[in-house]
Amino acid sequence: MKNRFINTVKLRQGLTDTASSVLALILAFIVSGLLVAITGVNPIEVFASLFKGGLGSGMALAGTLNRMAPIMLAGLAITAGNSCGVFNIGFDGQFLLGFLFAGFAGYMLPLPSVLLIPVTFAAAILGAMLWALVPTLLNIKRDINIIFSCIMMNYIGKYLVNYLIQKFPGYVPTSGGSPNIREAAELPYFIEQPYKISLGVLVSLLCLVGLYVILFKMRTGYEMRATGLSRSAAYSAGIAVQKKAFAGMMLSGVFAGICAALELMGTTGRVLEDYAPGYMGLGIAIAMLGRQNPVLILISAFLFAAMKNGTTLMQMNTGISAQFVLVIQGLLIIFIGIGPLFRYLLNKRSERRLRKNA
Amino acid sequence: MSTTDNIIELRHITKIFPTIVANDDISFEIRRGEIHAIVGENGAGKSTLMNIIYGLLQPTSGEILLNGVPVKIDTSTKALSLGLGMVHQHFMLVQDFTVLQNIILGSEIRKGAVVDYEQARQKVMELSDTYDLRIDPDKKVKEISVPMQQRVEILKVLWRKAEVIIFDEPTAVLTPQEIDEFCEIALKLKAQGKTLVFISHKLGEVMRISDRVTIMRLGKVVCTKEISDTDEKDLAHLMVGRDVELGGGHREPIKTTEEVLSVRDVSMAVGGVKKLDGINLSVHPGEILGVIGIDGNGQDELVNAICGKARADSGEILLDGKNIIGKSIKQIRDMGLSTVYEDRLKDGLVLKYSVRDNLILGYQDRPQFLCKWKAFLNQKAISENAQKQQADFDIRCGSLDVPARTLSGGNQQKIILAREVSAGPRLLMVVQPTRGLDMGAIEFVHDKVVEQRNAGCGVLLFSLELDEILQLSDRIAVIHNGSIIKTLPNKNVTKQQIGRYMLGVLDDGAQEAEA
Repeated sequence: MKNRFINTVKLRQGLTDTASSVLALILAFIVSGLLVAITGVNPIEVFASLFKGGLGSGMALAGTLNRMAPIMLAGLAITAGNSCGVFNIGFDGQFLLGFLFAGFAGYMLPLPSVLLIPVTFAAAILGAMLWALVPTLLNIKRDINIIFSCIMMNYIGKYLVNYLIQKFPGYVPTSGGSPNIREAAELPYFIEQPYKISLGVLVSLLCLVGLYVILFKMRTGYEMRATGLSRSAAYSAGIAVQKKAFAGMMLSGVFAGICAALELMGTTGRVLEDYAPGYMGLGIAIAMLGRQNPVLILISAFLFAAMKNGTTLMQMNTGISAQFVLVIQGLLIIFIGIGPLFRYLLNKRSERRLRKNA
Repeated sequence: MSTTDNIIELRHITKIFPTIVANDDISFEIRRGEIHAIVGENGAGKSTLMNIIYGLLQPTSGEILLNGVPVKIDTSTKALSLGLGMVHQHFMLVQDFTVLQNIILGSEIRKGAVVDYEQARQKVMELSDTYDLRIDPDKKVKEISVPMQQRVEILKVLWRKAEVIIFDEPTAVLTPQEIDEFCEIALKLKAQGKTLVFISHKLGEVMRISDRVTIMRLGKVVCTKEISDTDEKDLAHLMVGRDVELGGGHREPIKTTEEVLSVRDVSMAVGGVKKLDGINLSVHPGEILGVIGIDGNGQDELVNAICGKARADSGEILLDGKNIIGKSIKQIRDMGLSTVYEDRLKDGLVLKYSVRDNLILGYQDRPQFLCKWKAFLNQKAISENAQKQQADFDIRCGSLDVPARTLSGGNQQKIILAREVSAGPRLLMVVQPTRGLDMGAIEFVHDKVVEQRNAGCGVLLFSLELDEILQLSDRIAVIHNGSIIKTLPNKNVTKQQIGRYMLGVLDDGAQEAEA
């Protein structure tokens, strides 16, 4: 054994993953930059203010970190599903149900902080898992396409939440949401000085490590990933593939619930009507960039949080709409998706070069 | 010898793919009116070369001379127009079209805007009669047998007036009788002045019909020989580069009446069609039972019923005396069945998993690979296991951490074999274990299977290759139409005899009941 500490093959794999993610990222920035340039705004200025708003000061950095918590959870939720070969496109619905359950618990229960915060987390997880359970069971018992039922559940979830908000005791019409949660349910900061960092950041990091341990260190994770990579091989090896897919969807639901709880207890403080923070799209982008690699997931979640955090400054300085971040995000997904095309073109080119040399 | 005696001349053909040199400076000629065989192992570059001649690939360098004139063949249409036709290993036929429609498809005779079927039929039948192909022009392709489909492919090529016909592994899909018929057809084509190029790795047929043979190894031409100057052993030696001994070598005699597997009156229907019809067979410890039959006679269903993927409708399957019908794949596996599935890429390996991780697939819940409350994997034990298997089974890979996808077929099969054998099974079920492997790997697989047999494990072998069954089995069971119609010890049996059983004809000449 040449080197017992650094596993070169794994390292090389990690580097290739990183390289293709970085390439996609650069391309996404170039193309979105071109789009901005067409509208007559200097793209350098746009990106500069975007990143200044997200990373430019200690204050901005702290804000980005706090935003990163729910975004990373969304990425983990999609990653957990993908690992088992199920695409949890029902994340939005699960998030909203978790949001509602957490809002209700945080508002209704007269408990001290130490109890109320865990209970609120639990309520959010319960709500999200419940919403993930319906399409999963339909799929297992009745073989109903999980993608369609998940999308439908997203709509049902959205309107159900809008409706149920009005049933909160003390609901004020036209307030745009439920009453605020109790102070005891608000997520405390685990660092106060010099900048406030929410406990959510810690929770999200723990979840990241947790998912990594489950997928790569535990037996069940081995079986889950086998199911995700080759359902037929896993089945032939005697792995209960349906149970693993079920577990993947439920795990995804758990992360969706935690994401909702962080959002509620750390950001909004109450259940809002028509709330659509767009976490599913970010989650998909992070899962695609991250490829089950915890470091890449962390970096990409941080990057998206920075962009999201920087939009205000960008909008102020350049007049470009905050939706611009969605454009970058969409382009990124496209460029990662066409990765095989890049490889094909590269192969083609090296073949041509060989022919010329021959 | 004038140049026009050579219908095709290859000069310094080189084809470089990004990772490998598939053809390296290939030069030889094909004479007009001969049957020229090209033999070599997988990856020797035979198919690449044929695809270059047929215009599907472009050579990196080198040239092709046709009748002494350099030609550039850049599409298969061009190849056809030059009189080159190819019969692919996997037929390119429209299942729902009739034989006639398939033959003329793409070069129809027209009468105004419509196809002139009358004239086409007449001409196709003339062709068919000339070569004694006996096709039925109005049957749909999906209704006719595999050898008939092959004849349709041949007629397609003849219809396009090909002078040279390239056959890619034409006998891979045929039974021994059908191979005899194919050889007759080939000789008839030759008698009519056609030139045949015949790619194969079955040396028996090569010896039988070829005039000359070109041997390829690792992208290069080893040599071209007159068939009268060589024999099967010599060819195998030239292909592999060393002597090959198939059949697994020394065997201990079996001395037990105990049965490790016994299948009794098992019937099973799939989608309303009865696929298994009262199957009976048994495997003793320390013997290899070879199940042979034409593809689609119930082998897949029997495999599925034994390994737990499908549930038999009636009868019983006893593994070490315990009925396994209704048990899960995992339960059966834990009771002592190891399976080497037919499709190693789909069922045998998680291709993106490392070699190391693949070596525990299906056994990841065995205590030796676990630690801490049996929930966590014991990475150290898994690595040690991988190193041991790599050494014992000569798995060649750069590192145990590379994905299984990057290994050659032979090494992939070694991973599977290592994993399944090292579990210490009571019964080892191997399905088409050497399909697509080269000679060296086949030899290795045979050795390992016989080693298991000698160690007292029962082996149930499924194969479509009669040669393999004859080389490996202690007893042979012939499956036809979902039943085992004959079980016999592998002593003094001929290929022809087994071939007859495979078609459902028993010794007294009676056709099996259904016919």
